[in-house]
Amino acid sequence: MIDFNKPVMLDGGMGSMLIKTAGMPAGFPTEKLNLTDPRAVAEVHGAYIAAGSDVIFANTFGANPFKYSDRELGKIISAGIDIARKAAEGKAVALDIGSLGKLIGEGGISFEEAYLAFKKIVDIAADRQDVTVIETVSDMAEMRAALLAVKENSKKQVMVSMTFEKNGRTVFGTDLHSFALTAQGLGADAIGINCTLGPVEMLPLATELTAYTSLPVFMKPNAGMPKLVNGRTEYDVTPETFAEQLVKARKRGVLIVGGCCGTTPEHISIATRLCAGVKSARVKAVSGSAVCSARKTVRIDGMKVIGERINPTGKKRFREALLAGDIDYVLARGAEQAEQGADLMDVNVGVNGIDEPAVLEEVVRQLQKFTDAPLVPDSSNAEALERALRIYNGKALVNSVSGKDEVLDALLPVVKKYGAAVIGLTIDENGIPESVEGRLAIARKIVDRCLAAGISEDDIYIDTLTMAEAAGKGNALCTLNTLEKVRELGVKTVLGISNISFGMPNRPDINAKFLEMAREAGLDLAIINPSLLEIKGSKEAEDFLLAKEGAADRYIEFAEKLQAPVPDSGEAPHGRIDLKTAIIKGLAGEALKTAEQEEKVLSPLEIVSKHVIPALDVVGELYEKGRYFLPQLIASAEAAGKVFEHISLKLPPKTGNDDRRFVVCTVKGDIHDIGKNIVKAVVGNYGYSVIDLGKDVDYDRVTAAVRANYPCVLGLSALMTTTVENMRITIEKVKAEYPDLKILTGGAVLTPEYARSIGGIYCSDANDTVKKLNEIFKNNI
Amino acid sequence: MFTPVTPELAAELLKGLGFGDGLIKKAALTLAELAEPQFTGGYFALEEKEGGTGLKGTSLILTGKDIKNRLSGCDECYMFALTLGRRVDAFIERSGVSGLLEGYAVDTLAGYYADMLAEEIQAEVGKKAAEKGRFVTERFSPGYGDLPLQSQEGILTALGADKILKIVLTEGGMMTPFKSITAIMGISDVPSGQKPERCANCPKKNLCKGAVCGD
Repeated sequence: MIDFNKPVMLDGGMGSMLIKTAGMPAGFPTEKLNLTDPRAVAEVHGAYIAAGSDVIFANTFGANPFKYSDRELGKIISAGIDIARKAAEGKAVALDIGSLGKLIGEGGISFEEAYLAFKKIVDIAADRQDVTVIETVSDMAEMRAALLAVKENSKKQVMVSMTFEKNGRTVFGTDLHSFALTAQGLGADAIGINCTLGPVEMLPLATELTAYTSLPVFMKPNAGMPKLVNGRTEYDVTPETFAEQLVKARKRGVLIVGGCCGTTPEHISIATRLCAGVKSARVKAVSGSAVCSARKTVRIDGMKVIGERINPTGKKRFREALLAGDIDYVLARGAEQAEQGADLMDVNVGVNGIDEPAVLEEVVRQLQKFTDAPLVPDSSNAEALERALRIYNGKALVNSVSGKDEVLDALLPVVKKYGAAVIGLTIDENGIPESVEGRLAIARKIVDRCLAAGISEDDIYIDTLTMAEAAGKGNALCTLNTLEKVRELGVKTVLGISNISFGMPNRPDINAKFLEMAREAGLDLAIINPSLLEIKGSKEAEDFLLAKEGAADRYIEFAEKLQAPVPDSGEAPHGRIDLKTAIIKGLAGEALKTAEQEEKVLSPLEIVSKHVIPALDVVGELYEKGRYFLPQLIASAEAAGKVFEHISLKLPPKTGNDDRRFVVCTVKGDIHDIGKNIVKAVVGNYGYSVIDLGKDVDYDRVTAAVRANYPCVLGLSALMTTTVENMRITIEKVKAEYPDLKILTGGAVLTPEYARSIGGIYCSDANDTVKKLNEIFKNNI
Repeated sequence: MFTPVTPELAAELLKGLGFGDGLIKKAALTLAELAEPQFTGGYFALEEKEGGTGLKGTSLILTGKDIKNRLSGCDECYMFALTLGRRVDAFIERSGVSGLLEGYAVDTLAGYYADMLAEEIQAEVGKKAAEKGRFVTERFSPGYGDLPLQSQEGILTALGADKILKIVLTEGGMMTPFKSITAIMGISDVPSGQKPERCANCPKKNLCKGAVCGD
């Protein structure tokens, strides 16, 4: 076991040394030298030991299953550890794990595939190392996959460093604080920064990192910024300058130091000499509660807002979207909330009839790309929560546990393992206690169990449960009084606000006032619709919530007086253009307002046939005449789309339009989807039900979707010369089962001849796609 | 070093494509905020290898007759990788859910802008070469003619672009960040003598919509 709380000297660059001394070309896989020239590797190790390194990193950095067969990988890693062990002279040997060099996500490998690749490396090493180092990763997803692989398959300590740019973020946008929270949560023993930067640029970042974690911090800078000179990468910081920066690092509390690319035994030797006798500082990390996404940390200091809108409860359209697998709808709600100022986002997909664990996992996976707000996975299904936590790239807040033993038993270990924070509801197998003392007792139990499970006070949020005041006079006071008492336990508090006004008129006003009162009582997290922040609650609401005598009746009177008379004109207000024109001009805001006016006079279906379709027809004509271009087409499509979205809430359910189904996707291997999205926006307005499979879609998924939606038309998009071949294969496979299927094909790389040759129907653009679809459906597919 | 994105530049680059002025300005401001242009490049001596043209000091071999023609008569080359960074990609990806029009505008502008930056690098290299009385060919990239897209990996490794610019390939061989360009220019003592074969013999002629490779 290495004591990371004492100063430790790591080693320096290995790959760059080997390339120099063994005369290898740039980019040569130096890990191969473990087999072809082990003496050269041993020499470098020996030089670092002589220079004063306490830990040497085995020459395994570039060795991963994507580069080598299992057999070769086994030999390279085993040899690497052996060589290091023999050269170490009793000092510690680290298994060095570098980035896989693969994209993790759509178009690349999955999180699980990355995990399994790292697991393979760890299994081969079989804990013959003293410590494992994960370094030079820029993507939080990759960092987590590697760290989990080590934690789940090795008993040795693990050090994790990411590679940051000068601006304090990785190229994937991960900031220092979020890295610290996430790595610490997953159980790293030391965290740090390596590569990309020289010592002068890296020092302030490493110093900053010490403030975000109680873990030991390390830094391994390059010997300056790299320059390509005559095909060789060279570095320009001298060993002396380098060593001086490491001395400074020690003085600022970065006790573990070493060197990365371009550094040599001389760099380490001088550093060892200069660091001897330097008094290292101990830095106390800034404490407090926080959660994070891959790109943003939110400190819970002062009340913060959890957006509540990703929740199907009481929302018919949302439920339908989930049942239909329309993830885009969910993501759009998330995007809206982010704009309205939600600090965190609750994610609830609990609907009967779906595979909740799979859907929650997928929604969290996608949503975390579309917003930087930390997420709050919300479910009563333990499996759903675990799957969501596994792929969430940050520190989540789990909603929720309760006082029930089986819930605490099932979930607390999962919360602890993934380093999440947790919400505890003051409810148990006997229901919700009516008294402050009753709820407080459950709160105490939850807190005790969390602490016993190793979850810190900073990560416990108690929800004292908001019950409708109208359903029980004094409910608001009970909740707020319990909240004040809970704060004395030293943990944080959270409340769902909107339940308070259930059964009363003018709910936003009551909610806003309750929110104010809760904030004054010390509430840390409020689960609300973020638009509530703009409302100031009334005095009448306050009296109601304080359970004053007769206040409920007075409030109802007050609310009735607030109803403003509806102007009854039936004409469009002066100066406003008509709906058809608004759509033709692509004015979405105008179109929506005008549609609302028209609704007073026309039925939804009349609005569509009188205004929307004629508008789209005009747009299509203008486009074909070359007077309108793609931007106008998109703008009109979006305006029409907004009107449809608004109207569809009022249309009778399922008017039978979903027998005109159009399944679309970007083919396997391709992740360009702007063209497909434009087609979707335009086509959707013509009464077609568009089923979007997304991008990089495997052949089987396409066939399955056609099967599920037959009869339908298929639309395939591809952008690259290489992936156009996958389009051909997709068509081949689908046509094997559905030989009569009409397949529309599009993408910059296609020509009419090529499309024909692979069995597709060429579409030059979105407008053309609509025309071809109309033709096909007119002829009854 | 690079020309920054401005609404005026954007109006130039997006001319004739139907974008309104307001949208162009918005796209320009967005791209200016999100783009983080970076490049890495170097001079490499060329050597004949079995199978193609090799770059000295690397294990990269460029295959196919089109690059061979392009580099014929050259003893040296300048190879570079350039990227606008991932923040642009993230914005465009989010536009799939909301803000499609602006996403489309930024995507189009970013593509033209990246190409413009590649031009600037090429011009700079040409200037330096001219100072020594030497000549530079038009740049050539994987995917042009018969230089396979699969060369991308070797090019990125030879440049250290995977490490320095953190350019990662998708399984389909596409660079991420998307708005990235790799290219090679030949350098010689004489102006490009041998004209590369015309489009008629190009294996990509059925797929190419215009003079992408400058031939």
